[in-house]
Amino acid sequence: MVVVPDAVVPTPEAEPRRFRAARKHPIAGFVARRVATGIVTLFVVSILIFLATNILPGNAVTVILGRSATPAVVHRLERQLNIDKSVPARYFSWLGGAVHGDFGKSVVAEVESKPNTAVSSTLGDPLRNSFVLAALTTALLIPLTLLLGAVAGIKAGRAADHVISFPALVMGGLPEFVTGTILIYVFFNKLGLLPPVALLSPGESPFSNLKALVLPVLTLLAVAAGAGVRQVRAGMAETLQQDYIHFARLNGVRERRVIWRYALRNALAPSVQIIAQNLQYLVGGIIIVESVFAYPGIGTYLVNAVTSRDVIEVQAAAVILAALYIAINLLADLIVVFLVPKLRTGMR
Amino acid sequence: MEHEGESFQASDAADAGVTSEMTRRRLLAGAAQVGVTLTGAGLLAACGGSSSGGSTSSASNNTPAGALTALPGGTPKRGGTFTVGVISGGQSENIFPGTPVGTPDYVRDYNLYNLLFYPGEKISPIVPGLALSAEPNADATLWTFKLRDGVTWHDGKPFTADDVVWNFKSLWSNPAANFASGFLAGLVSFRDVRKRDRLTVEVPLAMPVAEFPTIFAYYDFGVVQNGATPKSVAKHPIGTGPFRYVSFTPGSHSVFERNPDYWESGKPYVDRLVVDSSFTDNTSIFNALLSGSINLFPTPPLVTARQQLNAKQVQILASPFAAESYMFAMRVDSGQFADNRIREAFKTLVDRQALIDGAWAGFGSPAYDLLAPGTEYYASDLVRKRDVEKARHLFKSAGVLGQTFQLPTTDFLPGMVESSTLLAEQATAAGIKVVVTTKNAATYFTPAGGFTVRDFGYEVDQPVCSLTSAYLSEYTLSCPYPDTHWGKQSGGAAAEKLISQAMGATDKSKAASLWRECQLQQFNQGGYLVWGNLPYVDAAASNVRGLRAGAGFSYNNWRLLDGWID
Repeated sequence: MVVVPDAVVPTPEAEPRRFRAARKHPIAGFVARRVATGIVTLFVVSILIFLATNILPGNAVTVILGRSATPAVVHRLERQLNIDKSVPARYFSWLGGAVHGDFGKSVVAEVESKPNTAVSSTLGDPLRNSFVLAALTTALLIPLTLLLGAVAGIKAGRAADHVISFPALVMGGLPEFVTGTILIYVFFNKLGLLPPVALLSPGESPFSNLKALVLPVLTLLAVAAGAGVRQVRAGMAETLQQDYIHFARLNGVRERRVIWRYALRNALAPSVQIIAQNLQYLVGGIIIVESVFAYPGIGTYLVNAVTSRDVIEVQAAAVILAALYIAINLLADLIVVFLVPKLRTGMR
Repeated sequence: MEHEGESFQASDAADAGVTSEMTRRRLLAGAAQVGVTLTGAGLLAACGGSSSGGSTSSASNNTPAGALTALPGGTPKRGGTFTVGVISGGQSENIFPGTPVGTPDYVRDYNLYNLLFYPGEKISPIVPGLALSAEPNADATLWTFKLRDGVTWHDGKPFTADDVVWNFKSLWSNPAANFASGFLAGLVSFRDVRKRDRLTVEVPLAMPVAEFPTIFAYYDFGVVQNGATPKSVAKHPIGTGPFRYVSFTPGSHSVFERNPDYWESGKPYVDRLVVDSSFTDNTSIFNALLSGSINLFPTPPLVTARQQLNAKQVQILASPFAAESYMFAMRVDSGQFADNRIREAFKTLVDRQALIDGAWAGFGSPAYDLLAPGTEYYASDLVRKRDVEKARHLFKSAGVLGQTFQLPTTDFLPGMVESSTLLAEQATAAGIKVVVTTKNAATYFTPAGGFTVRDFGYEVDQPVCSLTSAYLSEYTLSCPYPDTHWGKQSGGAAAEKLISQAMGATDKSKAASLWRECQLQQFNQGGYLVWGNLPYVDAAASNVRGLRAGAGFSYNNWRLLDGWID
């Protein structure tokens, strides 16, 4: 038997003020806590990214000047660009700007006297392009995952389940570059239906050639939906085994109503987390897919920035991706709380 | 003394397994196709190249059957766009000719600007660009450059001697504005470079250099307008090249339009040139080529090129003259390789053809520890036989049998990692162990990545047009690429003096003798294990016409002005 000391049990009088506030607005308190956690996570992630980029051998100056760089020239440029300063000093200098939306100036562009050196201005196009790719994928991913997962769950063990689950297992297990390559082989090399690359000129809208987006979206969809469908299927199958479903059926409730009103709604809460996981996957998976299809999004931007050791660009792109990841997580938690009343009451 | 030295070295070479080279190298039947030089090549008598005979065969290679030395010709068609797909250089891409950092920059620079001279299709002789000729005084300490008349800049101003003087004095003397300035440091009396008349420039040297003009047939020496700086060029580049600037987004796209006033009358044929450097992956570039999104893919993976020789979905151009040298670099002045027996053992154990087949899909030709194939005095007869037992004996006598050697390598260029791994496999047969580690390509050739510090590493030399250029690049004490630290070893001062004498020899027979002595030193004692020479292998869509392969850069020094779309 566990004995709880009296002093640890909070009494209403001794309870701190903030808990009382949270009691009045349980959702607001939850949101506040999750946002605060998200910000702290983002802060820690930004430090880790900064440290990681500084562990890489060489810096932008050595990469640009190459092997013909004399120590004197390297030192002069490092001073000019403030990259001779300590890592903490540079980090806090960057952080000060970032909280105001100024991600700093591209070190490489500065070295080469380029007219446009602000990272914020070069991030716009890649961010928009990636957003379009992710949004199109999401728009298809959510209904497809729910529908196929639900059908497979309802028809568990039957032919329809196998027809859905087996391809989902295969697609979910293949890495993006393999799926992408297979799709290119089939739809470009063999059928000649779709272009194998999704090239865009600077400023060109991704919607200007929708055909080019088909294969990147299909690749992302295959990998993300493959994993998602199986998870939704498991949730649905489990829900259908619950006593209340059994009782509903015994009470003569029509099967369609059992599924739509009782099973699906209750299976939806875990599905939200599954879809959130898939969206989080998109944040990372998009980097590889963009590379396979030469699509000029944030992933390509990040790869280029790492190649040229542009710490400021790497930092900006990585922090934005991390922020998206955290935001999706937060949003998913909120949706679950709204969907499941039990969780809301549990906060009281 | 010179004579004694030479005979001694020749004897050393014989011991090392020197055999007749022609039995090992095949001249391509297609070699006869090469030889187109620009008008005025004959004026280059003083440039050290035009009177050379026979030695250019040393750059020949065993190009697989099916590779083209020139795309189909016919009557050129005007219009259309050449889109070149290349791996992105990110923000580090720039548009200043003195500071290129990768292929996207090379494409732009060769098409926006002109060099004073260009490598020939067989490297030597060089051919005229903005300079028609260069004449030396008796001891080659003062060079007079005659410039091309009738050339205009993209803004309509005439090209004159003032422009060239500006480049010498303000840019080519400055390491921050020109990555190859090390070639000229201590050589050119920059302060005294002067304009003699509207189209004549005098360049005084601090020491005699008989092959001086060949230095300028190198990609870093694109000529910019009088007064232009890296900063002004970054805003709006103005050149004399076949294409004019329209737009430039680093790591993404750059667009150029046809220069209707280009000095090669009637060229270029296409209206626009687009450099798409948004790619991060070679496979996607190849897919873009297949789909028609781009029409030129320089230096595709060699395995892909080889497959396409049979598949024929795209055209593969390969120069019959291989001039890009791949080598393992061993430091001669200190560390494990200071003992020449170890260097010689490595040179002796390597199976060069196996490296070519394994790392280059059969493109290229074996090289035998010498630089600058195809140049006038290149000692193509110095060939080394593979002898694993001899290598084992050398390792044993040096007391390193069974020891481990660390070889940091990188995947900067095709075949580097593969050839390093193959060398490591071959080394075990000679009783030593080589451990290969792959380092980051972005920093491998920087001091931060171990360059100039490591004992053992990798080096690749792009084509140069003379032994003078190669030695200024790799072997002089002030050279920019001192992988082997040649000259710092015991007796290094005499070796450096020999290089100076060879560079200054104006008499051709004397120069030939001195350069042979220099090369024998490298062959016998040098720190480079040069295992192969690779030609530039490029891909083009099936409807591209007129482009040629050359020993210099891709598409014969990026002469896209020769091509059109059928």
